[in-house]
Amino acid sequence: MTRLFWISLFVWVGALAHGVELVGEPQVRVENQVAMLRWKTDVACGTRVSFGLNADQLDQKVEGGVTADHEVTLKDLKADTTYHYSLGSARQRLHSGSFVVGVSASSATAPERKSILTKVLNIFTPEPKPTPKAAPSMAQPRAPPTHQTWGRLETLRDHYDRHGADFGCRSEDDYAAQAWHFLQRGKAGEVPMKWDDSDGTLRVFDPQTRAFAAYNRDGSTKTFFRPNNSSYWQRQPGRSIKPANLPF
Amino acid sequence: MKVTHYSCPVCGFAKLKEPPRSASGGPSYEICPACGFQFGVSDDDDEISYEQWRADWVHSGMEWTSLGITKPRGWDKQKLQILPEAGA
Repeated sequence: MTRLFWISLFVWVGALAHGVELVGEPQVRVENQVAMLRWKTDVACGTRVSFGLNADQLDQKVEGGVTADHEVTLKDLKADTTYHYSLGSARQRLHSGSFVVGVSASSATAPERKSILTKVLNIFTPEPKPTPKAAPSMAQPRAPPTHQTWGRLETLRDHYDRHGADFGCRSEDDYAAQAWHFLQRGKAGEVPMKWDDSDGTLRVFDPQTRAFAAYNRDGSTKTFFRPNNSSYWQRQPGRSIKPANLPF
Repeated sequence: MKVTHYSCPVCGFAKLKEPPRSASGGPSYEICPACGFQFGVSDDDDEISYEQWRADWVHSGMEWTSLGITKPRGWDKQKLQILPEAGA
């Protein structure tokens, strides 16, 4: 057991030091209107492929689990069509390219373009994120409608797309509701909060799960995500505030 | 009532709803709908500089990134003119 702990610690520290990088070139295999994308990363991280008919609009996505050996299958593709894709995780695009779905079976090797982000995201901590604490089922109030809890509704889709997987959210509304529930934990004094007088931003952080959220001065949500950087909370400005002193 | 907008220091998009940083230095957490940089996350957590993000965004074709905010009319022509100078 002790040995397992030290091995896990070594892997985690190694991940901190090196970040996520591709190991070799991704492989794309296309057969019968199904494309299989496979790639390896040096450490375990999330799995996401975004794809579409236009490189400017990768409007479909398929996600997988946290692993170092990634495999995603895209089904029901159109024949005689070029698809563009990017692969990586929810927050990190490691590679992009395109493939053609022919009428007959075919295969292709992914093109060689590698995102610059791959080279600069070395601080990224790719270890599997801890599962957020299950909120108590008893006495948990139902969240108000999303349009009442999320600050700018037109931004919700982008925040959900980027951070929803951090909390296993199933929809934009689920994501917004979880952010609201997180605020209730702050208001109940369960997790620390910081108030920023300069712009009325409330910041809330759970040291146990590393969940972080920022709220507007009226309590509506700005964002909700799980930082990778261990000093993130310490570096966010604001003075500690007690629930009784909140303006809402 | 006049609505104030702010410019994205990464890509030059001129209609951010909040200043990327407040007087305290705190981030807005806004995701630029044009280049996708999230102030307070891309920089404070992922530790990517404006210049690095800009270079990658330009390299990938300066695509409009927002899924929920519609690309402005004429964006494809505008984007080439508003890009901040490297190092800005």
